Amino acid sequence: MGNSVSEVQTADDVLLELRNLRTWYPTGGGVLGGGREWVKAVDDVSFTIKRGETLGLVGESGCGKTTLGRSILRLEQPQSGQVIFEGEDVLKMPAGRLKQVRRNMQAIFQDPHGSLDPRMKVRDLIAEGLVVQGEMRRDERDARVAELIDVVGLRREHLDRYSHEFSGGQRQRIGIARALALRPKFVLADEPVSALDLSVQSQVLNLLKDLQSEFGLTYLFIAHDLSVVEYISDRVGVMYLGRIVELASAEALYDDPRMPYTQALLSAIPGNERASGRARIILQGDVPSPINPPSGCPFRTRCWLAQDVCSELVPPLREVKPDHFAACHFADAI
Amino acid sequence: MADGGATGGAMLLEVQDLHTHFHTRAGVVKAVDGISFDVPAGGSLGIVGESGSGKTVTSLSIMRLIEPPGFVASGRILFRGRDMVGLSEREIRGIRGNQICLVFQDPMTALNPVYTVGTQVAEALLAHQDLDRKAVRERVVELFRLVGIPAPERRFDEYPHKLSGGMRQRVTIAMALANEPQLLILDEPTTALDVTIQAQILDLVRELRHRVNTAVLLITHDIGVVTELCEQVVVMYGGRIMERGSVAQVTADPKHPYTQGLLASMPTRAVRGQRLAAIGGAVPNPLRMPAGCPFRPRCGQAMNVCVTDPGLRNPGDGRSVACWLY
Repeated sequence: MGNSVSEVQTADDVLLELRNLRTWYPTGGGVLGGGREWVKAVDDVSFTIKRGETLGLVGESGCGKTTLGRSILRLEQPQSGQVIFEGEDVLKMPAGRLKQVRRNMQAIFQDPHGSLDPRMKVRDLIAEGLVVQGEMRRDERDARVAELIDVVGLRREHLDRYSHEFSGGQRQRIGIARALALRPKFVLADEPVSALDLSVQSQVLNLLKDLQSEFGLTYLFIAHDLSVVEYISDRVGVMYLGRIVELASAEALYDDPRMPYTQALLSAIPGNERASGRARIILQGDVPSPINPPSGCPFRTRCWLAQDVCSELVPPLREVKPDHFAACHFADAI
Repeated sequence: MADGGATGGAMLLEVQDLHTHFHTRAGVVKAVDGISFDVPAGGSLGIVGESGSGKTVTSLSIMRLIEPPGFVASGRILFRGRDMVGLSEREIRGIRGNQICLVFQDPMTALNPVYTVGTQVAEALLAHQDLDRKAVRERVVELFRLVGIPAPERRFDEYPHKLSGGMRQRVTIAMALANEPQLLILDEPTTALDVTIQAQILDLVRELRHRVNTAVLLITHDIGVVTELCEQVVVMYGGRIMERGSVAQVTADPKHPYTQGLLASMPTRAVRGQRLAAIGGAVPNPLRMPAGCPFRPRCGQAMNVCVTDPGLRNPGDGRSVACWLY
């Protein structure tokens, strides 16, 4: 790495660290920018992911979880903040360095339909990253592709077919093989099982877990399904209107949520009322617009505990118990 | 919840040996392949299945909305004792949208983007009732209030695109309830919605059932949603019923290997850190369904006898299971 300008000091066991990340999109406004408003898709987000860890990220549509994931890979351009991957700020990297680092940061998306080119054979889809990085000989590439198809549980005769010939679960396996081709250290998994039926979803979740232990992968696992995230994650972050409002180990977060929004979210899981014995909390209204989020706490307009202070001060994400962070003025009282 | 309306045992809906097929260039797809179930007046039944199980084709068959190349090949669909299969289109229109209403997953399939939501609910009312303009508007506002739409007088003149997904689904539910149907068919009503909005809608349907005593037939892939709304459940796979019983029975002690596999596939805290008990393989090609039990190729307990159809069998606790193990 040398003395690159993007070098930053982080703890040894941390693979990825976000510091005060902001991704805002301009909207409306005139040609001169007068009256321009901003969609605050990701607003002041900080967290770390340790090597070999799975950090789950949950939140409802529009909370900014997908934009956050894409910002980490620099598929979106954040306004400010830092994305520190192995001690280097991804956002400050020159293009050449970014290409080198991207081999270590790969992604799996929800829709294997949309992310697989229908005119390419499975063999070429899996090898695409290797070709782009361009340092393997043809026979080495073929060997790697054959190995990958085994790893994700497909057969070698599948290599010469096209993606439309496969079921949803098989297509997601192809997407996973593609992401792993470059032997990445970090994988962003954005709703990787949401489009799959339950019986197939469990196959893919098992595969993701196996691959993690085999290759020492670190996952950022983004999903709206709270049960899936609880199952797969070591730690879980909850997003609301562009902010992380709670972050803790999966166990602590699901057993003892300290932010009212998290409590409402967990109580809304169908069938959970009976299972957990906790009363259902029915939230009123919809999520406010991220263009003009409420002052103070973003959740206060739907929160049953809101007081005057909630509209005046943004509650910081603070440690309410060891390694349990919540952004609520009343997190200790809950 | 208790189903007060089920007293007397009068069946509102009886589906008897329904077969719905589709002609395709490659052959006949038996999307629904001989299923039977009942819904009592005021009762609630959930149909759970994965994609391709035939659950949506079942709901469309009941609504007589199957269009060529699809057709009801055989079977009876008795609504209040009358067979819907033989009715004329005119007679069906008197029932559909009036006595039986359907709510879809995507509210935009039911809403016309160029009319205000108030007009559209009014139209549903006027199709079956004779009301003057003022009375219609009052009734629509009342329905909007019933389904929890805030500021209902103002919402009347809004277009669908101005509303959020949850609000649109409330509008389609208001439309479905306009004529106080005896049967409400909900086909994945909350699948497109966020979990907190889903909780609002499920809460709304529960409350409405108490208030107006409408029977509910819920079609979903999510067994959790069934436990929220229904007393009875049918588990479908490959166009057939695999298991039928009370929600409490089936979720606590599933009998069919498919139901067992489905419930074991659910990621829960109890299995954290362990591998999920996934069902191997994939749903069979509908054109090449295996002989006998459709689940046989994926079943860990398959036996020689499974190449013949087990039919629905009774394990002795009031439920039906399509498996030779019982």
